Amino acid sequence: MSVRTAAALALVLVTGCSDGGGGDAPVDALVRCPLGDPAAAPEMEIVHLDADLTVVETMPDAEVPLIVPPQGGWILMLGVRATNIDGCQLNLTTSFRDVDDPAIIKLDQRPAKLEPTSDGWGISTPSTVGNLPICPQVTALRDLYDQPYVVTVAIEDIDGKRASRDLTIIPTCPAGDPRCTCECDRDYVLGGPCPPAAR
Amino acid sequence: MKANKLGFGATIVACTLIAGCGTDPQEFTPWVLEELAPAQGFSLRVPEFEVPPGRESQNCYFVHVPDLAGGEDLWIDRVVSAINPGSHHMNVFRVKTISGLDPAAGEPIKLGAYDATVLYGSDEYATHPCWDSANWADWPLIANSQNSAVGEPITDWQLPETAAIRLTPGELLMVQTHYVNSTEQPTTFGARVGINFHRFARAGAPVEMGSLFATQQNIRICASTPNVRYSGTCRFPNAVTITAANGHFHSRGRRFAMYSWEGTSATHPDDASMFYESTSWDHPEMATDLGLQAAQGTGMWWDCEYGWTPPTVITCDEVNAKDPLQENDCCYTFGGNTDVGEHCNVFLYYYPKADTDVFCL
Repeated sequence: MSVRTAAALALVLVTGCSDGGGGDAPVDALVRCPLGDPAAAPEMEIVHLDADLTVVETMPDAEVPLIVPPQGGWILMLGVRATNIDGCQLNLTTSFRDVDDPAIIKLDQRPAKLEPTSDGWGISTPSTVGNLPICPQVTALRDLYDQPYVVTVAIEDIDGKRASRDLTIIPTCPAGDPRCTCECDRDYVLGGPCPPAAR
Repeated sequence: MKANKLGFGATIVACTLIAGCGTDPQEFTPWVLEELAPAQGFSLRVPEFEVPPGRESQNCYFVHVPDLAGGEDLWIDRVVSAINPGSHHMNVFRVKTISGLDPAAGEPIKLGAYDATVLYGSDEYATHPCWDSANWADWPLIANSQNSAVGEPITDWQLPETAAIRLTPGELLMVQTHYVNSTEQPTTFGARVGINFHRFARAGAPVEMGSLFATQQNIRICASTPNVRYSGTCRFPNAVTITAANGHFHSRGRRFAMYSWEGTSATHPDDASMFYESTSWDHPEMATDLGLQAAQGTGMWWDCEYGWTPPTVITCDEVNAKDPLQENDCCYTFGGNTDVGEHCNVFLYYYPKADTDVFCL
């Protein structure tokens, strides 16, 4: 067992597990990673994983690639670039909904940590972005690709400081992947015939 | 109706030293399930096999739904499973798209009276198609059990009211067994599974039951961040009654919870909304007879909480080798082997089923 592993095991034993309450995520020993001015209001931008799994800033109406996870389906991987917040032990919530409809189609919540950059900001890494399952989607009212949808990305740090942003994006299938357009079609029925994925 | 003759007559006493795994000597009375006559339903029996100490086994058995009603669909409203201790899961799926896991490539075998094929995944978790969950990504679950306790190997699931599973004669099913023989989940008495599917015999027309499968596919439980929680949501396409649910994770799992979710809020539901909670990774209870109403547009929120611990059989080197991001932090990521990977899966049953089952991948 490495020193790092042994230290982490000791940390488990010290911190124990969750108390089982519904709203409070388990918390490890306090490690601070202040970004920017702790007295200022948090600022943030949405980022996403591109098709080659690099983190890029998400612009309004951006085409955001649908990515294949290990057990099938198609997901969006969204994160955050932020400052004036503690970059360790963040809670990251990403969600996906139709334009002009408050119903959330999918939501993902997970722990996150931002990698500091030289400008006082921090940014999600591929290991801490959110995983939003998009297709197949039995409640879809229209196609889930090449159409505008709204994503919301929210963060909350260990001190309860929060920031949130909405953005309209366009989920996009990999070029020439008929399985993606099939499974992300509004009328797709689970288990229905689709061509093989170009994976 | 007759008793299944199984070749085990007496209580077995197993010893840690003999078996190589396990904790204290325990008594186990081999289970016996009745053999169903066609008028009652059908019985599947997975032949007994051994799992060597320190190993895991995942097998995929394929069998066609028998024609017991002159070509008419079969309606099943009671599923009784019996599973020898050491089982991690037993899932029954409807086979849909066949990609990497081909029933025709399996070896012939008998599941009780029925011809079947099997692909033995053994513990080749990195390469064998029976371990690659992408191969059954669109196969709806129709029943499952994670209960194989020494003193309670039988799970008797009676569906409520007139809810029933609809099976079509000739339809292909996959019975997947996953056994572990480690100190944490010993397979001391041999691996053995039986399932009885009882035909609907109540008054009134059956109402078709559907299943919801939801999973968190990008999870990381790492040495440097040992206590983490992953949450997700999944919506129903129509108003339903949730009747049964169980969560599934591996040995780093500490708490699994499901909540009613109203479908528009990103705020974690309160404790009063919780309808399922388990802190057991090896024998999580299946909650049944929930009778929980979910209006159209609403859904379910689930949490998986983990506490990192070192691997027990393999090493962090193997865990690191599996990490797609290669962070060298002994991170357990999505995967079927219980000592190398983790899961965060919801198995939930509801009625009425609309056009399709629900998947939230």
